[in-house]
Amino acid sequence: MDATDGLEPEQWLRRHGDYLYRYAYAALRDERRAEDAVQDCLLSALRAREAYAGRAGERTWLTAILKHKIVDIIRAESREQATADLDELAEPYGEFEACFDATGHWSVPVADWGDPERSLEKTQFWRILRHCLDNMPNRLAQLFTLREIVGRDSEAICQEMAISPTNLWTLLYRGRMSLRRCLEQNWPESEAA
Amino acid sequence: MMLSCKETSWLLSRSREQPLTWSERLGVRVHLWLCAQCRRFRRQLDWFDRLSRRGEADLSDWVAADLALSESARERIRTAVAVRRSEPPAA
Repeated sequence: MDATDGLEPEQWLRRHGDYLYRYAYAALRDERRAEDAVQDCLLSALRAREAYAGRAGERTWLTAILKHKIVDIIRAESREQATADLDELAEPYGEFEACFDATGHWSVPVADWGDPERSLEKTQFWRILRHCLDNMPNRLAQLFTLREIVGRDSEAICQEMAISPTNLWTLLYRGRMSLRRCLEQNWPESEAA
Repeated sequence: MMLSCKETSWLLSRSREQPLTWSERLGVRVHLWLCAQCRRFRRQLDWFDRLSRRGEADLSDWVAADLALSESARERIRTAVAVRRSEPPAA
């Protein structure tokens, strides 16, 4: 062991700890689980640091590890849930039939969000997004998070979550439909387009 | 046969995961040309996509700029690291 060896995790924690924690929090929406993800990340990084060799930036490298840890945490939680009866996924619409009338038109007009990041305060938008994700069926929120926040591609999610592509497409559709409806319902009146 | 909004919404979402067939693409294109509602829906999906594309740096800042690891959380992580270091290396 050379002299700097013992310092690495401490340095990572000091330089990148808050950053990693915020990212994990964005994906997991829970302080305890975000802390677990950061801890798992640093432990893995400790084990993998020989292979790292500084090719990518330190933060980029740690973030890549963190993403895997977030996937692991979500996967472990999803295993504990009873598998939803998949028959119900045979067609994509489910409860979102109600978003359309008998002729297949939108039953409630779709709002023009404009540029939500510009029209709403960032913290305000995040608060609404978070509220909506917290209130979504857990499975939908998990898959939406992996796909749209962590940015995993759908092939990887199918493998990691042991789910068929068609079921994933259906669940992502429902997640997106659920989230957009919730966002519109919670949009501050004054900001509505 | 013209696609409905319902079918179009499904294809728009699915197209983010898997390329549509030629005829599905054509149907969606025609529908979008005629339907402002579904164009808005598509922009909403674009916006979801950008959540991850905006990059980690942005995201971590954006959703929780004021969030930080507490001193006690740091201490727990240091302890876990110390414990791991004291273990013999895995084979």
